[in-house]
Amino acid sequence: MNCLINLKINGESYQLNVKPNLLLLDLLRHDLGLTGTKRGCDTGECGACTVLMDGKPVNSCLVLAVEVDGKNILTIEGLAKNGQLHPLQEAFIKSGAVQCGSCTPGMLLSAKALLDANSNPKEEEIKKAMVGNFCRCTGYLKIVEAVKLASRWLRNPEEKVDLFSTGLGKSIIDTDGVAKVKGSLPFADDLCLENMLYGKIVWSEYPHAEILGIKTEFAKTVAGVVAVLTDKDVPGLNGMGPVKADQPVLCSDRVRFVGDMVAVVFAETPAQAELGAGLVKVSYRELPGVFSPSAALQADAPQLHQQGNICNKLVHEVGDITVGFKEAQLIVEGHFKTPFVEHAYMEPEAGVGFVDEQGIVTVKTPTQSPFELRQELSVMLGISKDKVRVIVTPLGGGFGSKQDNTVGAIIALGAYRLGRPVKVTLSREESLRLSTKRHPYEMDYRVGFNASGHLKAVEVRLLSDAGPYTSVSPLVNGQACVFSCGPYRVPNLRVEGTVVFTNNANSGAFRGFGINQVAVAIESILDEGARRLAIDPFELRLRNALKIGDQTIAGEVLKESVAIIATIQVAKEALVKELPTIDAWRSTGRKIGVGVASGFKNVGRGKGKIDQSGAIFILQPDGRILLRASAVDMGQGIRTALLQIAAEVLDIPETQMDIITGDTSLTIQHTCAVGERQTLISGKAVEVAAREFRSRLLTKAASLTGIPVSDLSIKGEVIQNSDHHTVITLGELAQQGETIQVEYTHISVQTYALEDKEALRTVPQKDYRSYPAYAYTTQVAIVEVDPKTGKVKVLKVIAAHDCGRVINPLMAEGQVEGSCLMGIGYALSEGYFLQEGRPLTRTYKELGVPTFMEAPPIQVILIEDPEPSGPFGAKGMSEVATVPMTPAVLNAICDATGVRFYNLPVRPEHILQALNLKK
Amino acid sequence: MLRKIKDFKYLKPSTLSEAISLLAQYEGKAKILAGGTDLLIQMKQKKLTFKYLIDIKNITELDYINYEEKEGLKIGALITHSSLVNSKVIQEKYDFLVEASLAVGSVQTRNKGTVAGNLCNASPSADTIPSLIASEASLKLISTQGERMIKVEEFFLNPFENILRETELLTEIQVPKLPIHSGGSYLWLPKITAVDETLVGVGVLIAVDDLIHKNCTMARIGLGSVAPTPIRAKNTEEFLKGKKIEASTIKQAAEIAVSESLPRSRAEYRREMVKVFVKQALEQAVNKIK
Repeated sequence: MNCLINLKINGESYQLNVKPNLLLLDLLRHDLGLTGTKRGCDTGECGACTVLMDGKPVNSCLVLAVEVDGKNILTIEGLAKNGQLHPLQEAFIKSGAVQCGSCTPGMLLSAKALLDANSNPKEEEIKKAMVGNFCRCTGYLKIVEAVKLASRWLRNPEEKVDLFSTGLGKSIIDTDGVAKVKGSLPFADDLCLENMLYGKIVWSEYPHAEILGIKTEFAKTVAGVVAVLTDKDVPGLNGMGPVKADQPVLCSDRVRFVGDMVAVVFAETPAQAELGAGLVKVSYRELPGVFSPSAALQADAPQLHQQGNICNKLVHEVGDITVGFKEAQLIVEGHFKTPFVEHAYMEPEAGVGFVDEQGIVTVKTPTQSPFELRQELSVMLGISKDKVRVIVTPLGGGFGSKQDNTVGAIIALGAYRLGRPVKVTLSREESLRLSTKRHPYEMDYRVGFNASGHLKAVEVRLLSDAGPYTSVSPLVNGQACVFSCGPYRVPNLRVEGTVVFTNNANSGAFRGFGINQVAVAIESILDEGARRLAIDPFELRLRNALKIGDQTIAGEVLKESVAIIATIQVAKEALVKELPTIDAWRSTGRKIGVGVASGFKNVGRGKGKIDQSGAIFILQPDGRILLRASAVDMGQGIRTALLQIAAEVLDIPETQMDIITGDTSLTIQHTCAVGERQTLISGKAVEVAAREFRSRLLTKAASLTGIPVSDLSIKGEVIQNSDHHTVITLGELAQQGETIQVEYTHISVQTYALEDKEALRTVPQKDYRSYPAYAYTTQVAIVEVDPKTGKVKVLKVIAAHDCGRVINPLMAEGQVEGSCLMGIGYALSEGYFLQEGRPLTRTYKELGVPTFMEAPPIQVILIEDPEPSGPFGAKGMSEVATVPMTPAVLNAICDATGVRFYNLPVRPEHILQALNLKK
Repeated sequence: MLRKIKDFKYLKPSTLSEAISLLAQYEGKAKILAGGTDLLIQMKQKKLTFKYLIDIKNITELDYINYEEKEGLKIGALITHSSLVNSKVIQEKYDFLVEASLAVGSVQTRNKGTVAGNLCNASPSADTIPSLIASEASLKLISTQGERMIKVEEFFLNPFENILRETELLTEIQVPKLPIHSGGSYLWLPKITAVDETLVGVGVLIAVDDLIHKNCTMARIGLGSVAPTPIRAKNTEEFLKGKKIEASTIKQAAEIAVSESLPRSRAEYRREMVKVFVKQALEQAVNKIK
């Protein structure tokens, strides 16, 4: 029975007739279309759905609509008044407190309630007031700064500054920032299409089982259920996967993990779809499962695939380790173990699909791989790829996991089969089942040093857990091997990497792509080596660090932009300044530790794969510039960076340009948004295209005005002569003759995969590359260990990063800060745990994602060692920032306690146990 | 977990007598909604089956914090953690209850969740319970059959199970006036990150004869998350009684408290933390004695 409620939302009165089981969140988002309030976790843990109820923050996912009778609700849509952003909204944009934007509305409302009660909060008060709001992108620091800034602006409005600025190398604001702080940027789940059906997935009930039968007839009797799709409804290839299509879209005969989809029910309402899904009866015969990599390798292990349980195996050798170890004065060994880790982006997977008037199956979803997804969907539907269009909705965080086809396939299938628009949104629990995780690794390292700390030999055995399907596991395995020794010269090496199938979670791409795990091992070992040889750990790294002309273990001779030494030196200098403070802390008996680690990572996809991007520039009739760039903004700001690059070339401010990204019909084909490749490769495409576009604009202006091109220049909205007088506006230029448009495709340099032994032998050394470029970093962690509880608090981080050239300092810092906090989480708190293939980690909070309270101050130092192939010397930098943070924390713990830890995450009890053993 | 909540009938009584009549009328088929921060999660997880949801938030007679010198503190069933935290009288007289409510979740949870609800949910790790045990609080349970008072530590049966009858409503938490020369404290350690569930929670209240001799006249200790239900560390209390409160006594007391805890997962660490936190909580409480 419905209930009548009266309430005010954003100052407007409503009288509504609601069902008692309707959540306030659904009332706002679904019934009233106020989609600025985001749905993150469903369990009142993440804070994304925060609204103010009578001025107080509450999680609207844990409030019934009937409960708000008589209440006053403020949502993000009500924060700006009369078209004027609230100072908090402005401060969030200006401070770079917004990345993907999906935690932002909730953050802003928590901050609003705080400032209403306390106009000048201290840092600790801000953190405590907002600790119920998670952010996975920023590392929280810029959010705290933004709240402080807003507090100042609210008290002293005259201090406010203009939001907009321009220029390469300047901290201009996110081009989507205003929409993000207003909550108006449409994420996939915010979309609503006319006549839309809602899909609900029937998940595997077992980690490993044979499907004996699927009964859909009961589900079909539910009112509103339109269809139940199973494998039989897949017209083409029933498979998906970025490397090998071995993950069924809908399982037919067998399930291999609890994230397998067996059927999908489409109905008129989400509730009906859910009811229907509950009535699809699948009968199974449970099969014995494989729940660890070592179990997968047992002779009598159940085999997950026809190829067996080995997904990929690689062996690579350099020199002769027997000789190398003989020369070594010190050999350090270690067995390391890391867990599955969840990306924990704020936005669970979602999407809508429809068939447009031209018969094109269109899917709007937050994918990192629009063109790869289009290809997969066309093969699955058995139609040509011109008949499929993928439009990327803003990513509420991705970090690698949205590279894989998640709900895209069933959305396309639903739209194609049913001829009606469809929508699928995963709950957090479903997202945790389905989405890929960081690969768990077991690593055996044996490293030989000579007396002066030079690396003589390294022997590495890697065994990692792919989970049930291939995803990108072979690539991660290859990359882990290539980067297994860090940014150092290693004369003798044997590395063996094996990745195997299990019935655990599916592993895939995650910021760092296999390098994080091996960095934990090699950087811990280097630290141990430095300790035993009594060499300063910075010095030991300097002695081994790669330089121009050195060869990586993969056989590439580094030619340019090799800044590892600079990052080590700069980090050390910054640490020296902290030493008096550290000594003062130590003198009071506090257990303080300092740890350093370095890292490098590929920029660009490399490994022999084609890496391409493109750019299209169009002069629009109103004189504005449209850039259709081949890129996907994962929330970290590539759209802004590309506009800055274009602005620099064209001499036209970013605000006078529009940008379209992530649309397979409107942009040139490009490689997925992975491997921190977009600044380097999409940026280069934009730079080159912009130069050509500029010349075309000037040429046309010259032909219209009779002034030679050499005397013309662009300045903002106009073209000037050599006396800086306007000769024609861009608007006028656009009205003359044919549209000025430039298209350019940029293909990055040829690279070779590690397993391509032939290439290593035959390709001339100067042309042999594993990757288009590399980024380097050194990070320092200063930690305190509480000897009573074993708890570790990171007090400060120093992060020195080589970006080639900084396009946008604010965004670069923001990425480093967010990455560092992820690295800290990996060291101390995060993990996705299963028991016999069934998840023990079921809610957002249980993932161990760091909160405001775990976020230390981070001193980011950006170094510019130009990369010649990048736009203005720039290259990627976000992923590499996660790499050394984790081992830096581990090394700092060792410094504080004298105990080295080999298993992640390092929990307080492990530390306490070790300290007690030492006593 | 499924997201949609099963249908039910929503009832919104505006008086206590109306509420308990509804409970009697729909015995076994009704659930009480106050803050809902635990209940709604369970409803989403479909762990509960009920036909009627009785929302008590309209019952203004349950929305109070009263303090009288004689009878002590009375907290109505609708008091949220936030209103407890902001109560001047509680801040002044029972600051350890404020410490406990501040340990509950995040601001969002505290704004909606009630103290009484925290008790009714009966989570072994509920933060408000150890301090209420330590302060000798009792609960008023009312049904159409009448009312009964029960001590907080006797309220819990098993994890997420309490003695509340299906017709009963927890209407009030009564906290006696604190003894002279006493101090209380609540300390907790979260499982992983700052907003996580509590791994170990310790609430203590200790009184001494005077500030010079510091002989313990009364000690009460509640432990959270170290047994299937929140527990009272009776042996530890017994040990402290009559002893002079000094470092060695506190240390010994902490060790006795360890023997009273029965943690299951992460057991060794939890026991170790009982020792650490009982010691710290006692020290803090003693320092507060005026």
